[in-house]
Amino acid sequence: MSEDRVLSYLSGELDDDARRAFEADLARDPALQAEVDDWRTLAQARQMAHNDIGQAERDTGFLRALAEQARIASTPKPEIKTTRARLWQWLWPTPASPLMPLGWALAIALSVVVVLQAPQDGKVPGAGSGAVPGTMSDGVPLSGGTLTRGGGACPRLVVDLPDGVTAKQLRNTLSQYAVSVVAGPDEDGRFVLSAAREPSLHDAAQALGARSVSVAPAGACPKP
Amino acid sequence: MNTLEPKRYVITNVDALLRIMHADPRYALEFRNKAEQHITLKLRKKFFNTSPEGVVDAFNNALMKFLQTRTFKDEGFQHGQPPGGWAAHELAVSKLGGYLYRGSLHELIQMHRRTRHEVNWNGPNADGDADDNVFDDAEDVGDPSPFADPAHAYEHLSVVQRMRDCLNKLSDTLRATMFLYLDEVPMEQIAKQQDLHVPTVKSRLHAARKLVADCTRKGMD
Repeated sequence: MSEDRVLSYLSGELDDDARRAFEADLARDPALQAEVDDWRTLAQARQMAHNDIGQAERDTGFLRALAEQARIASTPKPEIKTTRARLWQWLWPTPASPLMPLGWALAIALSVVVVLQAPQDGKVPGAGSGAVPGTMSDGVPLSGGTLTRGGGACPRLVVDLPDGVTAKQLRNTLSQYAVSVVAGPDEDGRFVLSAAREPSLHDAAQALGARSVSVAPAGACPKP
Repeated sequence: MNTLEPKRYVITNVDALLRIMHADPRYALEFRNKAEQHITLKLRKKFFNTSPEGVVDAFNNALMKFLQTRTFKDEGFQHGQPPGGWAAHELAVSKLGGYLYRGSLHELIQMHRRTRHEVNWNGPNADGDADDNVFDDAEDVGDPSPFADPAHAYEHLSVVQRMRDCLNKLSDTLRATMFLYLDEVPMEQIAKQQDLHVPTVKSRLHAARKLVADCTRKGMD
């Protein structure tokens, strides 16, 4: 009778009350416990017998999955690049072309030439707020309150104006020929005029009836 | 060189293990087969009322998930690793074995839930395994079962192997009844299938168990 209970217990066929009662007996009776353990070992033996079936197929499946996963494991993982690494990659992409150093040397040399040719007076009073220091908001370089176009210089003319030239006449003429007074009057009463084009300077000097005209070294272009 | 010495590899992480097993299929299969034997028997001890196919499937699913997810922590390989590295059979019963066991247990419970809508099992919970979070390898996934004791494990395995041989020596009728019962077929269904009464099924089962027990004892003497 107790053997029947063991079979029913193990196959889960006992109701809750009967199962609890059986488990209480199990705790008290080592012989009953040994019998249950014996059946559990039998179940393991059955499992072992079953494991022998289809072993080769399972082995093959495992080796196949292993080959696939080992291939994935050997593939280098994509690294998460920092901003600095990305910038470096942009500057020096890998694999680098053999001409890459030559290209960079040329770029640096050109930059040096451009810098050397640019005007050197670097003070920038009056640069608008929000503009990059040394430039106007539209990116035109500023130097000493005057503009330099494309980093170049504007021709200048030193003129000795007649005494009878009025301020209004001077303003209108300068405006007409797009000429600016960039310096003066000096001790001798001469003014320095500057414009984008040299003929405009001469035309303006002639219109104003300049007593003497002399060419001055080109300088930064005046603000319009 | 002693050729009986098992091959050993120093293993630091899952990727290294996969590369080693890919390069040495013999090592890989030794690991797999030992882990399968160790884990399925342990599961079967816990879940008497389950099918052998289900247990093997649970182990295989857990093993494949391990290969795919590779989430086992590196420390698990370092814990208890012999100076010369892991032999395949040692690895199968190491923390990795414990991890796979917990994964297999999880798979088996899921299978039971899918097929029966409830977990109906009567096995002892002496191992103290939690059924949930089985892949949470932050917990100790070591193997606390008697299998962890090599001498005990060897002795027990010998008994099981002997018992398997004895089961196969049973007469066809007794073996068929015994296998149906051990493969979780209800006794009423066995009776119907074999055109017997349920008490006769029970008698056959007792008779078969006694024969196997005697056979096993003789073999062990």
